Amino acid sequence: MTAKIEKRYSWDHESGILVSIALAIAGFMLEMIKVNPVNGILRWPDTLIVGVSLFLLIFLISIIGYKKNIFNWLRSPSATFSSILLFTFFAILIGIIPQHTDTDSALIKGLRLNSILNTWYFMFSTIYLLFILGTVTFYKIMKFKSTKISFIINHLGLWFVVLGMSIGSGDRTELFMSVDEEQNFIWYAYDENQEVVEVPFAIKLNDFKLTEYPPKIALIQNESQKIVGKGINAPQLALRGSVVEFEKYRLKVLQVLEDVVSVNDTFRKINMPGAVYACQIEIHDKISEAHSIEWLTTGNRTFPAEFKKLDNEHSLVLLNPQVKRYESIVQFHTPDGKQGNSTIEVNKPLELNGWKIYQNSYDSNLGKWSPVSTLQLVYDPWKKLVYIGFLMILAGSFLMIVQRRKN
Amino acid sequence: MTWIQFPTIAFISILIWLISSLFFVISKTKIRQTFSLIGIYLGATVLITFLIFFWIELDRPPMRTMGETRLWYSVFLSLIGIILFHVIKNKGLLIFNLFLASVFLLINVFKPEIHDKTLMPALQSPWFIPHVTVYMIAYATFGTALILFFIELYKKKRQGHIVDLNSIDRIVYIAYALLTTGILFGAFWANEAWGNYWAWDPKETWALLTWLGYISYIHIRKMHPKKIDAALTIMIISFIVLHICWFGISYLPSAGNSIHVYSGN
Repeated sequence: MTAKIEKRYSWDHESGILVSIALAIAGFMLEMIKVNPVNGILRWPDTLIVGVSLFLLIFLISIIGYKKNIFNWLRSPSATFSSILLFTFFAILIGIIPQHTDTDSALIKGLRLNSILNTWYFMFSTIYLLFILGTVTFYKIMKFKSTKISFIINHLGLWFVVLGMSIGSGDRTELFMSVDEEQNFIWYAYDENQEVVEVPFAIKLNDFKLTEYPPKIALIQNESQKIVGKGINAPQLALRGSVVEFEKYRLKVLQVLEDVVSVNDTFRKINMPGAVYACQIEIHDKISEAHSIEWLTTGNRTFPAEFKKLDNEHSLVLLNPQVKRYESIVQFHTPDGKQGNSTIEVNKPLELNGWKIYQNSYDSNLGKWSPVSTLQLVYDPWKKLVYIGFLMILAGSFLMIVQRRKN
Repeated sequence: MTWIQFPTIAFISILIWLISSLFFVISKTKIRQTFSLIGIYLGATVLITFLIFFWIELDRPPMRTMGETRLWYSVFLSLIGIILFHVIKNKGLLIFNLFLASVFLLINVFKPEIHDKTLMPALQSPWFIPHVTVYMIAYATFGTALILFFIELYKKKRQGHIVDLNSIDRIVYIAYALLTTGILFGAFWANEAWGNYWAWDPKETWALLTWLGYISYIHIRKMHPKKIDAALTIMIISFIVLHICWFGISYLPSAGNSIHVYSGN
């Protein structure tokens, strides 16, 4: 089989490369004359119509091509490699040039290289890939052999993925809903342009909970005020009883106090914004054998952090703690009568009437006392097709190993 | 056990591997070979034992920082070398794998990290362990395939026989399936954590590029089986792309946007 292909097409990759270059140039020109990008502007049901049409067109080309033995070029190695190459080329650009950020470069602006996903040239490369992938797959389906199962599953799966991700991107809706412990049910959210959008469910925040790791003790450079962040001098958790070594110093953590304020040389526990962590540390200079016991505190807008200058070069500080987990305890109901309670947490979204509701953020100034929580709402009808494709590629990749062994 | 004990452990493993490998090369009898193999197993066991205790001590999977992933890479390189030795009986491959594993251990010794017990909320997921493990096995398998490629080329130069890419292709197929699994586990995870299975984050883009690279290798082997040089070129490029994805990302202009950076404080 492979020998036959090789004979028919030889090592002729020029034709494919030419097609790729032509597509890229055409796309670049459309960008330069500022024609609006079509990608992502299509909305349901246009996306469905375009998707089905593309499928039928490729199907038709494959059937006619198969019977009349024309359009062979679409199945040539030249077409395969050039379509992979063109797509890879743009993927490399996406991987190198920062996307969705402003730039002064005229070249990047002119060709919109900072927004490649929404350009004509990227769309051309995707359609080219879909055509080549599609015809190759249909041909194999029509000439079905059991040894080609992995081929078909892999390529058809990838076809679904590319189609779902490209065309489907226009139907993906992402909104942000801000809920407050003080508020009642909310049934609207904001899109990326801060426009209000009504959503098919209502949510009420009963409680927002946030837990933190203990704060970290860090070494900073006096001059630059920068944390010595790397290697063995990297910041370490202040755990009661633990021993930390920085440079020539040996530090023993004697006490860690949570949610306190400093009042007349002592610490008092409070349960409200403004509270800090305090940490008592025994500092031992291993060279001079000097000992001292010091208090460090984290800082915020109300209370500045208390730090300890160790020597001319370094000081010791207590960093604001890292967040361990945060969650929103909510109540919801929908127009079709569903209602209930749920806890929405990072990595544990809530699914409701085709939407996925994610824990996104909170008022970071207030941290664990934040009364508000921001939820991310996502509706992505094409995800199912993409996931079917994913599972096919996954199954196909393992089937390849098995089929190869049999051959 | 923590990073503090790590240099000792690493030197023990490397020393055992070094002695066993030397013995392995010069030994002609079956019994001596078995003894050197036991030594090689022992070196890997020492490392795995360290990993287990390290995991317990950290109280989270040791898979977050670059140093931690390098540790897994070393372990899997040695294990794959051992497994493949039993399948294709290639001594050189096993020794090179151990050599590469030692190099990655030494990087960790000379670029020490402290143990950091924190794990950000996005990483607290049942996908975390399978995603990273599968990825590291895939990386180690691709590394093994490249080493075997060089061994084949060397053999061809010395003995003049035709390069046999059959076992290399087999290894690449396995690594490809693992890489695909790793990427898709990542996508399923991202869909739970960040609201999107694919967001063209720099790390994701370079993972896709790695995948495209090895896909190209598989295609060129199918369509032009005699183009050995082209296959080798693609494999080398893909392996470089793999490393850009693994730790080169931070040096790219696009890195500022990545939400995949976990090692900094």
